[in-house]
Order: sequence, then C-alpha cells, then structure tokens
Amino acid sequence: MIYCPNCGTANRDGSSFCNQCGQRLGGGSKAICPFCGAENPIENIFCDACGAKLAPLVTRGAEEKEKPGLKGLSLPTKPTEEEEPAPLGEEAGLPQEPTGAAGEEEEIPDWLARLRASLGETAEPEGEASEEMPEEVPDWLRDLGAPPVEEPEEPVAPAPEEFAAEAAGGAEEMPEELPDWLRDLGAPPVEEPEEPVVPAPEEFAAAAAGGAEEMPEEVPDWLRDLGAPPVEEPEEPVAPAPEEAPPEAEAEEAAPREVPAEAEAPATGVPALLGGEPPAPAEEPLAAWLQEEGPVILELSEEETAEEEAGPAPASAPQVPAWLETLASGAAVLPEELGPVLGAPGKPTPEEVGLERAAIPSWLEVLRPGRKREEGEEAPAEEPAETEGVLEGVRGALRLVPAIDPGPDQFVRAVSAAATVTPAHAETLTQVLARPTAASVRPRAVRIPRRERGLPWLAFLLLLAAVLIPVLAPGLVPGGGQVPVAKPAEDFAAQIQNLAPGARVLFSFDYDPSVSTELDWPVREVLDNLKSRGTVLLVMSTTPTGPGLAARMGLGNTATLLGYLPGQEMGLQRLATSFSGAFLVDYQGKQVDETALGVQSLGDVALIITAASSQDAVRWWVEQVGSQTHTPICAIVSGAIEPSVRPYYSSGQLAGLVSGWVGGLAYRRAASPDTPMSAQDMAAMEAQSLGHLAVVVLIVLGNLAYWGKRLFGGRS
Amino acid sequence: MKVKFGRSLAVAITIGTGLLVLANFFVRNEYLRRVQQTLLDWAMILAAVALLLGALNVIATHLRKIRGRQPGWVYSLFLLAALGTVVLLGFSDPRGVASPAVSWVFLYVHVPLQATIFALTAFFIASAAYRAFRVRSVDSFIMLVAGVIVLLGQVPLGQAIWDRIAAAKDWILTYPSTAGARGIILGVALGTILTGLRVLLGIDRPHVK
Repeated sequence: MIYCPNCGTANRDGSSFCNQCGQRLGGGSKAICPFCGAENPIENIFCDACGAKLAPLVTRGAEEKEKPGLKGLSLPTKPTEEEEPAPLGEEAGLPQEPTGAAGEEEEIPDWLARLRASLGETAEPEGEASEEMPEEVPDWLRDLGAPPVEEPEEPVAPAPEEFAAEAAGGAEEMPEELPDWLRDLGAPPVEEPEEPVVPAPEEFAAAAAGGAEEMPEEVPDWLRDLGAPPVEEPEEPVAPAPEEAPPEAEAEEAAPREVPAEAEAPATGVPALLGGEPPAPAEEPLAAWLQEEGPVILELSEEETAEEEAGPAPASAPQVPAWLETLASGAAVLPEELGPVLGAPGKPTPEEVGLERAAIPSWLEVLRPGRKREEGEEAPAEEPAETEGVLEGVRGALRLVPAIDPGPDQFVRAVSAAATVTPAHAETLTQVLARPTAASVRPRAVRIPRRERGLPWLAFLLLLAAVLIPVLAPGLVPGGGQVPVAKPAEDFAAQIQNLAPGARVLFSFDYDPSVSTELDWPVREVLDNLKSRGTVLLVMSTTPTGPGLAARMGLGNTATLLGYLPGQEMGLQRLATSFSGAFLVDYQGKQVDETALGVQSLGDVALIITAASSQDAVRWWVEQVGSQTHTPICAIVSGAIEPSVRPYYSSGQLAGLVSGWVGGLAYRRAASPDTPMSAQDMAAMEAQSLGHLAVVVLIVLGNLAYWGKRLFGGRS
Repeated sequence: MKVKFGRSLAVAITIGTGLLVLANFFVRNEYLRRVQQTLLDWAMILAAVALLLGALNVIATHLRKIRGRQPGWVYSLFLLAALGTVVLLGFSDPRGVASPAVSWVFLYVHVPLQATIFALTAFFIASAAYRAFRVRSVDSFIMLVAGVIVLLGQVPLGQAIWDRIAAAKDWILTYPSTAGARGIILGVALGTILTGLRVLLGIDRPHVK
C-alpha cells in the first residue's frame, strides 16, 4: 500500500495519484543540505551534518527516491535540475490547459506583454540565441528553461505545498515582498488565499515553452506579479493590451485530468507544463502578438526543433530557451519591474526604484536557510551565548523551532504559532536563566510575624499557671478529685488480684529516665500492690538504664533485680527459650540461682509486667515472649504511646494496660477502692488537667487567629 | 576468588543460622532448642559488645572534635570528663553499677536532667498546637475534634466538662485509632517477613557488603 503524504489515505501499490485527494504518490525524496551537501531525511528541518536549515529543501532525483516519510509529512522543496516541474495545475488541482494550439486567442498577461515589448526592440533574430545559460540567470530560471522531460509522472517535491497550505490557511500573512532565498526558489507566496498556489517555475516554463500559450485564468496573481512585481504600474505601458483569451469553459474541457504517460511527454525542451500535451509544432501559427512583434524570443530554436523531432532530450542537456538566452546576452532589455526581481546586473535594486522592502513575516524567517559563516565570523546576534547558568557559553541550545516536523500543514501552523508565542517564551526563559542559582541564594532566616512573637511566652505562661495553680490553690480545678474510668487498668488490677501468694512475677523496667516522672508513680503503685500480695518479684530490664530505675524503687527483700538483658528482642527470645543462663549474675553481682528463684522457664512465671516508654519494647514482649509462652503480659506505658499499644490490648495479647499517671490512679481505684486520694495525687491530677486544658486553649486560639485572618482580610 | 568464597561462606552461615532459629518455632526438639539458645547467647554477647563499640565511637568522635577545636568542643570535653568519671567510679567499686557512687550520679544527675529535657517538650507541644493544629479542611477538623476529646478525656477536668468524654476517648482509642495502628503493625509485620525471607534465601546480603 502507498500512503498519501497529503491526506494519509492508503492507495494500492502502483498508484500514481491518491484516490482521495489526487496527490501525486511515490514522490519521496531526500533532502540535500544546500551548504554541505549532506543527505538528510526529508523529515529533517536542520541538516544532520552542519545544522543548516533545510527549508526549502533540494530534492534528489527519482533514482534515489525513498518511500514517503511519515503520514502527511512533507517539507517544501525546490525542484532540481534533473527533476521535472509538476505541470501547472496538477499540484494545485487545476484543470490543465492545452498547449500551443489555443495560443491565438489567448489572453496575454501584462508582464508578458511588457516583456515582449521590451525584448522586441532588441531581440536577435530567431535561432541566433546562444544555448549557453548566462551566469546571471538564476537557477530556477535555468530549470524553467530546461525542464527535464524524462519521467514526467514523477512527483515533484512539494516545494510550494507550504505556500499552498499557508494560502489555504489565510493569505493575509503572505509577505508583500519576497526574501532573497524565496526569489531563488521562485515560488513567492500568493496573496489570494482562495486560489490554489502553483509553482512559479512551472508557470515560467509554460510561458517559455509555449510561447503563444495563454496564461490560465486560474493562475494566481502572484505568478503574474512575479513577472511583473506588485509595484505600481509603469507610467508608460510598453506593450499593447493582450488579446482575448478563449473562454475558460473551453479550456477546461480541453484540459486532461490525468498526467500523460512518459511516451506522451513533450519531446523537447518545451516543458510539460500543460499536462503533458504534445508541444505545439514549430510550424503552427504563432500567437498574434508574437507575429506582430517579429522577434520570437520564446519560440524554439532550430536545434530544439530537431531534438523534438528526434525524441526526448536527455536530462543532462538542459535546454535553454532562446528568450532566456536573449536575456542572458544582454540584448534584451528587461522591464523595469523585472530588473530588481531577476537581479539582472546593472539594474536598480527594489529600494532604488522606490520599492519599500516589506518586513518578512516571522513564519518565513524561520524557514530561511542558514548562511555559511566566514572564518572567524561571530555567531549571529539572534543566538547570543548564555552568560550564566548551566548553559553558560552555549549558543542556540534552546531553539524555539520545533525539532520534529509534524508535517507540512502542521509545520506551517506550528511555526506560525511559535512565531506568536516565542517572544513571550523567550522573555520568560531569559528571566529564568537570569535568576541567581540556588547556590548563590542565601537562605533567609525564618522570621516569626510580629503578632506571633508573644506566642511562646503565652504558651509558657499557660503551662506555668497549670503547674502553679494546683499547688497554690488546691481543689480549684473542677473535677480534680474524680478519677476517670479505664477498663484496661481495671483488667490490669484484676490480673494482680488473681495472683496467688508466692507467685513469680517478672517485672521489666523498659523505660528511660526521661519518662520516669510519668511512669514512676504507676509503677510504684503496681509494685506496692504486688508486694502486698506476697508475690516473688523478678525484676529485669531491656534497657541499660532500667536496672538503675528499678533499684530506687525499694523492691524489698522478696525481689531479685536481675539486671540488664542485652539484645532487645533477641534477648527476650533467649529468655523465652530458657530462663536458665539468661542472667548469670544479678544487678548486685551475685550469681543467679534459678533453682533458688524457682524459675526454670517463663512458664514458671505467673505474670509478666513491662513498664515501657516505647512501643517497640511492648511489641518485643508480645512477639518474642507472648507467642512462646502462655504467661499473661501486662503493660504500664506512657500516655504518648498508648494509642500504638492499644491494639495489643484489644486483641488480648496484653492482659492489662495502665497508661500514665491517670492510668495509675484508675488502677489504684480498681485495686484499692477504699484508698483515698492524697493531696499530692490530687495536685498532680489538677496540674495535668490544667495542662491539657492549656493545650486545648492554644489550639482554639490558633484556629481563631487563622480564620480571622482568612475571613477579615489578613494574611493567611 | 577468596573474596567470593568468603562471601558465599558468610551467606551460607546466615541462611543456616536463620533456618535453625526459625525451625525452633515450628519443631519442638531439644537439640534444636540448645542450638538456638547458643546462637541467641552469642547474639546477646555481640549486642553487649556493640554497646562497648558505641561507647568507643563516642569517645573517638568527641576526641576528634576537641583536637580540632571544632565548634562546641567544650561540651565534648565535659562529656568525656563525665564519661570517664562514671567509668572510674564503676570500676573502683566491686559492685560496679550498683555502687553507691554510680547510683548517686544516676539518680541525682542523669534521671533529673533527662526528665527535665523531656518536660520541655510540653512547651514545644503547646506552641505547635497553636501553629499547626489549624482547621484547613474537613479532615483536619475531624482530627482536631478527636485530639481535643482524647486530651480532655485523659484528665478529670474533661469529665467535669462532659461526663461521657472518657467513654468517647475510649471509643476513639479502641476503634479508629486501633484500626490505624493495627494496619501499621500488620504492614510492619509483613515487611519483616519479607525481609527475613529475602535474607534467608540469600537475595539480600547486607551483612557481606
């Protein structure tokens, strides 16, 4: 299948034209860099070798053609010498005009009339024109004069497509005056968007080949203007008005819809511009204006006529029409308007003839091919080197032209869109790059807003009041004597109540001195209860400071301080495996006699109690010991870790739980309901109540300030 | 080649040790129990040695700081002086850490100072409560309400304000809080299992790097 490069429609193999849009198929080509000559994929915008812009592209001949690029992807190209220009109207879908015969009634465009008039004054007789192409003649004119005749069905690289696309999109962006490189291309943009664009060279070729051929009605004005640039009309017309052209309807009827086969192609240097119609024979009557003017500058030479009779001319021998040779020889005088356009030597420049050089649109500027720089020449000013940042010293690293060609139409649109947004983007990029790097920015010190500078003092004063008020005025806090109900503490007390006298209880001090003020009181409460129950205490610790904390508790004679068990969970696993050997000496340095203690394993212990300040310690006991033995485990923890330890109690892995000072009070109320609360305990509870209340007040104040700022216009 | 052999040997030891200890959880065997006990004893000894190595590292670090007159080197000097004093007191008495001198330092220097430092966090918590506990969304509002209930439900004052606040606190800690905490615990457990399997299968070899 062959996919149409224009619309993407799949066509069967061997198709020459798209069955959907009529686009000529099989016309893939390579792009030749105009500077270094390197071959580039047709999709490239810039040359792989030298970085020059490849638009407009130069296509390679048919023998090196490749398959078309991506679907709907093409770039403007310029036909080469070996390549035949597409027939007029074929690219643009115009009805093709017959050649030659209808010339008598053709309408002669103004520029041809002026050209005829000017040449008629000085042109040499027919057949005397030299075949040498003068150096001053632009290349595209050479192509016009000698269109290759072989393989007429080969598609031409869609050089004018971008202009056609642009014309379709809106002709208001077309420039009034062409840049130099577009002059070389010979395909200036059109000014009438509704009219399809055709390659300029073909039109000139048609004029050169047919001589008497009419300028079709569908030809846009820009082609006419190329012959006669869009300047004010000369004050003195140099040519008579052209004759009437045949009706357009007749011309369309005569125009073939298909491109003729190669055998039907013109056999001479006459270009197959008009759809491959046989060239007008030399003996056919010339156009009226040519007959009148005498010198037939656009008529074939004798050699060309001979070649026409002999057969197709080789592509390597381009034919130059006589009229171009006349131009080259200097015998002909170009119209004043053509002088600046064609760049004839000695002719005034557009500025000299009073033409104002229009600004080139940005979308055309991005298509301008790069210019070779001389040695030592600095980079152009539009690509300044970066002065700082990671791109320091690099030029043009951040091009704004899209690097991937999305296709001819998309390309033009993308470039046009980029042209409108790139100034803003470039400005933004410049600002970003001009910012100092992070390393050079000195971090600012965090400044507390003035209105919040007294906040720490407010917090300190509230907490100080919470501590001092219960001491200075006990009983002032409502509910100070009440003890909250806590079922975990009640379960803890129940476990101790169930211990028989003489039962072994393993008590582990697994907290740090930092929380000793919080945990010492409930720990002491539990220890006193255990001693009152006549239990045998085995005290240990999984933290190095635990034995020291236990030693100051006044354990009594019935307790044995085993000391520190290293290894954390490994030590507890060792303890669960066998109590024997886990402690060789106790905290006092005496040898531990397990037999005397009556404990060979944890199975001999009736209750395990851990006083912990971290969740990990409780987890170690539950995981390493609780899973190996059936000994109930109770925990005394700080209030901070209660939420994380609570799941073990809820699952039954902890038989009881006392949390903080409040939990200790709850435990005491459950274990000894008749014991009254001392004044010290009441002061502690009141202080804790006020402390919690102070935190709540601060939270409320913070939210009031926050929402006040948001609702009443302050800074949030 | 030696390096490869050594690493393989280390990996083999690791896998074998882990499997032996693990097997004791599933198989009741006296031989396995003794092997596991021996290995755990070694681990406890190594943990104790690690404490000693940690102490030596602290000494080396602060000596370097003092030698280089780095900022705060005076504090390092005090730290080493205190450390040396306690060590000397401990070694000077056969009772070791249970000696009266060491106990005195511990009870009247170490414990009060550490408790005081911890108590200072109350002021930071109060300040943070003002700055950070802002109601910016529905979620933060729910968290704020739950926090206030738990705070006041812990103390008798809360009951004086609302007699059912303790029950509300227990409900929050029992259901929503437990659900979240249990999810974290289960996630940690699964991660631990996975890590153990990777080590036992020789996929992860952090000990031979």
